[in-house]
Amino acid sequence: MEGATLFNTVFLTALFSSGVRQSVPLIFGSVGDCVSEKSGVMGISLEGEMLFGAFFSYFFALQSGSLWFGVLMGAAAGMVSSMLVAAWSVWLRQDQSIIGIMFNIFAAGFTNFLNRMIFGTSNANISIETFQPIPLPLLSKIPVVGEIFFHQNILTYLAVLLAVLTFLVMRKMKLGLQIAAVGENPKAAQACGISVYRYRILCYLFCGCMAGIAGASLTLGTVGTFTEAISAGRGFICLAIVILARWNPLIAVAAGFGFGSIQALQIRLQVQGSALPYQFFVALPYLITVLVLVLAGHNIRAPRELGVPFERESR
Amino acid sequence: MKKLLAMLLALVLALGMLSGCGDGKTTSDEGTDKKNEAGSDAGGSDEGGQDTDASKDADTEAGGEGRNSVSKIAVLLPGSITDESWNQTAYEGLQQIETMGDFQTNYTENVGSNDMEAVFRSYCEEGYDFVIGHGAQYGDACCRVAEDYPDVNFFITGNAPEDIPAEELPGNIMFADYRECEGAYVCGVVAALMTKSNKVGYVGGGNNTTQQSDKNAFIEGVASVSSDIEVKTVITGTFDDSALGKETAIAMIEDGVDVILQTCDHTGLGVLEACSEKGVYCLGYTTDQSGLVKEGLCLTSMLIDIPFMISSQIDLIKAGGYGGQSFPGLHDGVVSMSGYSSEVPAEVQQQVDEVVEKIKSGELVITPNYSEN
Amino acid sequence: MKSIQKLLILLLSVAAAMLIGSLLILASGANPLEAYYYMVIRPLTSVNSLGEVSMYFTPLLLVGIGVSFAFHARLSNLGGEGQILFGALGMTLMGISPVGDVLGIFSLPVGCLLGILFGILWAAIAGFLRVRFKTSEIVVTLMLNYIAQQIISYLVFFPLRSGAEPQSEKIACALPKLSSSSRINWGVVVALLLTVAYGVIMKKTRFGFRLRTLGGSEKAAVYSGVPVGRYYFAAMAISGAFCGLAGAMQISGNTMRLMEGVAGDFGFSGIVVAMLGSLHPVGLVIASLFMAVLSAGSVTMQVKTGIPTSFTSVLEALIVLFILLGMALSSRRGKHRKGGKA
Repeated sequence: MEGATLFNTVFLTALFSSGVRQSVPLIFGSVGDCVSEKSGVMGISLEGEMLFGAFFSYFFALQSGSLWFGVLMGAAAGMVSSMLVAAWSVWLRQDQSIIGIMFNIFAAGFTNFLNRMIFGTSNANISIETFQPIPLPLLSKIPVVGEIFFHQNILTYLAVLLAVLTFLVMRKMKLGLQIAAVGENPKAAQACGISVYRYRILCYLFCGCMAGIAGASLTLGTVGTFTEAISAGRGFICLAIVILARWNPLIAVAAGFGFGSIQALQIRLQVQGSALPYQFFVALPYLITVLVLVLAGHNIRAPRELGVPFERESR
Repeated sequence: MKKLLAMLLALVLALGMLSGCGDGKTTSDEGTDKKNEAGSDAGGSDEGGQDTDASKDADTEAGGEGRNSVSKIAVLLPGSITDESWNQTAYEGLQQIETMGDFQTNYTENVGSNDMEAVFRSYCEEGYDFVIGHGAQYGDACCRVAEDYPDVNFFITGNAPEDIPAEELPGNIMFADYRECEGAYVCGVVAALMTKSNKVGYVGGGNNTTQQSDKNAFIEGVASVSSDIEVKTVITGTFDDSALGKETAIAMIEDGVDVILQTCDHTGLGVLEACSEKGVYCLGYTTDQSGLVKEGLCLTSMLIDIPFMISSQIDLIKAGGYGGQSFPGLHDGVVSMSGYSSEVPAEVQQQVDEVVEKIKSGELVITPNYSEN
Repeated sequence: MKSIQKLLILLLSVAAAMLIGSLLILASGANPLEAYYYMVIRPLTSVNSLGEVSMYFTPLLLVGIGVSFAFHARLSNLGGEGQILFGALGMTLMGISPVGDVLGIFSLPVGCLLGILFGILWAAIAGFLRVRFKTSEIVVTLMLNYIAQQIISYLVFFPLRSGAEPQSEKIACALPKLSSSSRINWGVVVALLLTVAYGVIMKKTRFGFRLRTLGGSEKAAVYSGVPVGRYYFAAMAISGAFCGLAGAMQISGNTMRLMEGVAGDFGFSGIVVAMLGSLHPVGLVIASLFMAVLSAGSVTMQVKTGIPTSFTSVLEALIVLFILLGMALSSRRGKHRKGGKA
């Protein structure tokens, strides 16, 4: 197809609409991670929590027949599993990267195990009706933009809503400042009477909860069933998004949308018959992350105590 | 106090999950039973015929007596047995074999290149006398192992490593490069005859010879019907990302594609979901996938008859003429096409059947093409 | 912490993980004792299976040492997989190139060096970003794994492909075997010698001392005049070197060709080894032996009992989590006695 017809409105609408759909799990995950990283805990285990969320949301939606109950249980599963990580990394003050990686390995093995136990080898046959797009009144009537952003399923709106709320809490409320203080200078925060442990753990549970919904958005928002290893590296992309977004939930929405669109674009370039090897496209999101870090790294400043366990007794 | 609480929480979490597994057990059994029935139905539809045009190699007598029986069979699979596709077909085929005779069977999933040799050796050490590597990628490791275990028969479902001369291949390995691409060709013909938009799509998972030859044969099949039809191809690079598979299919559908063939396991399940949702035709891969989409949308599926392939190897072993290379395909029923959906008009069915007959009779030869583009 | 106490924690952790593991085994309808017999004891009972253990032992030990270097500087090298793949690439390039014929017998060591160099290069990206911009090496190394996978996939698919299968030609330089009756090769000896070297570097040299100072506290290191940036970079590079060597040996000692997936999951298992061996040379050897036995044994266990090999990774994860738990609790107990409230 010629370049002239490639970038018409129909194509662009479809492209960005797909970008929005694919960004939903990324937005949930990265907004959650923004908060927990602000408090000083890295969400390396997002990937595993997403898997837990994906599996349990599917399982409970199937059992109860209610998608919303599924999402709720997915969030709960993400949160409960993140308790394990929080206990190890905050209470027990252990290296967050190791715990995260180990938890991911555990989660991948464990959700496969549960899947086989409960559904045998053929749950692909047991598909459930996913969340359908809901056109927002008025907004969806805007040409192009309406079709792209306001003709999505409810989880998409929920993702953006939660991101905005998170942004407001983090920037405008005392709670947000306290969380940031815990991540920047826990000793000072503690001196001001803030319980560093409690804040970090609650932030991490929030992150786990969001990761759980991210998982639910894969099973209940997209595929309609659980397939093994369904999170497929999205948790790690979320970590990159958080850095690129400089720990700002609103920019994270934009960055998530960017990543989703890159993914949508790479598929479409392949459909159009690009001469580049497909491996290039698969590696593209990761390449861009590293490139941005190389080029713009000096502008990015992480919360000072990010990843550093806090020892309450230390004086 | 809090630390105690943390530990309790962890414990409760672990136990809660465990009890969850216990409850699910009964349902899982039902699930597999159903699947097995479905599998055996599909297996019955093929037409016997057993002439593997094996270029039976010289060293038939080399193996001696130990090699002429089979009791314990094992399969190495590259992916997971829940993919409704390549691996699951083999897994279910193996279960069927178990019921067909006095065999003990076993399988190992997700055998990557770094474990291949270890897994082969492990089965040999544990007394398995017929070990199958499901995929051409196992050929190289198998050749190394086969020399150390002359009493074990090996079977690779792919072509032999090309840089080992045919006469140096161990005599106890049979390479069956089954022509999945013949099925893909037929799928191409079906797609070309059924498309209204003159655009059809192919979604592949990654880089291996089967994927490559399937894709090329599909394109050939389409071209054989009409040169006006465009084939859109996407390689997703993953066999596990069903969500990506769905978006890929949607991208194709939005581009006007109205028939899609996918060969990418879990990723492909997402493709099928998109087809079902958008009401677009799809073609099934390795098992009858019509149950995974809305009624009628799965035009036909190419089927791989693993039990038949394995049992005919066992017959060969018993007859004492094992080893070498064979090229099973449509002609001997290892590859076959499932029944058509109600959406396929009679004249299309007839045309496709003719193509199938031509390939079976050898009038039309589909050579696997492993090149990119 | 006393070393006896440490040992006790390690053993208890392994036991606790295996206990939870046995619940999982029971849930999947197998006998835990039988499963563990095949997993832990059976691999040690024959020359042949010991050879199989060695195939896991060498890369685990090498990656474990590599990861340990990074840990000493309090860096987390989660990019073992990418570095192994690049090391494998280095070896392959030497093994299939005409230069290999010229070098003859020396092509093997030169290939290993090339693998090491490639591993260093790949790790250096993360090291550079860490030193220059303080970018989390954790995220960068993770991203680099994905990129490396795709680069290797591309290379074996196009430029290096020989024949139909997406894999390179067979390399000309194989690691010589130690015994003819099993797969064990000289890689084991090299890995053990390097463990000694690792111990000497960490205990006896200024470099090792400074690296440990840096890991203890960056501030302290700065005060004592350690060029912090250079040391972070060096730790990452050495880490990459060991992973690269592991990759080179995977090619020359195991698969003989470059193909996708040659790194297996050694990148992450190496972290387990480093943790389990608590960064001590002898500990690393024992830990990688243990993990190698588990890996080799899990294949047999799967063959015998039908428990998926992925169970091993769950078990490994549990072991590490329990070690961390034990370390944390025991280091806390001391403080509690002093009257800190928890």
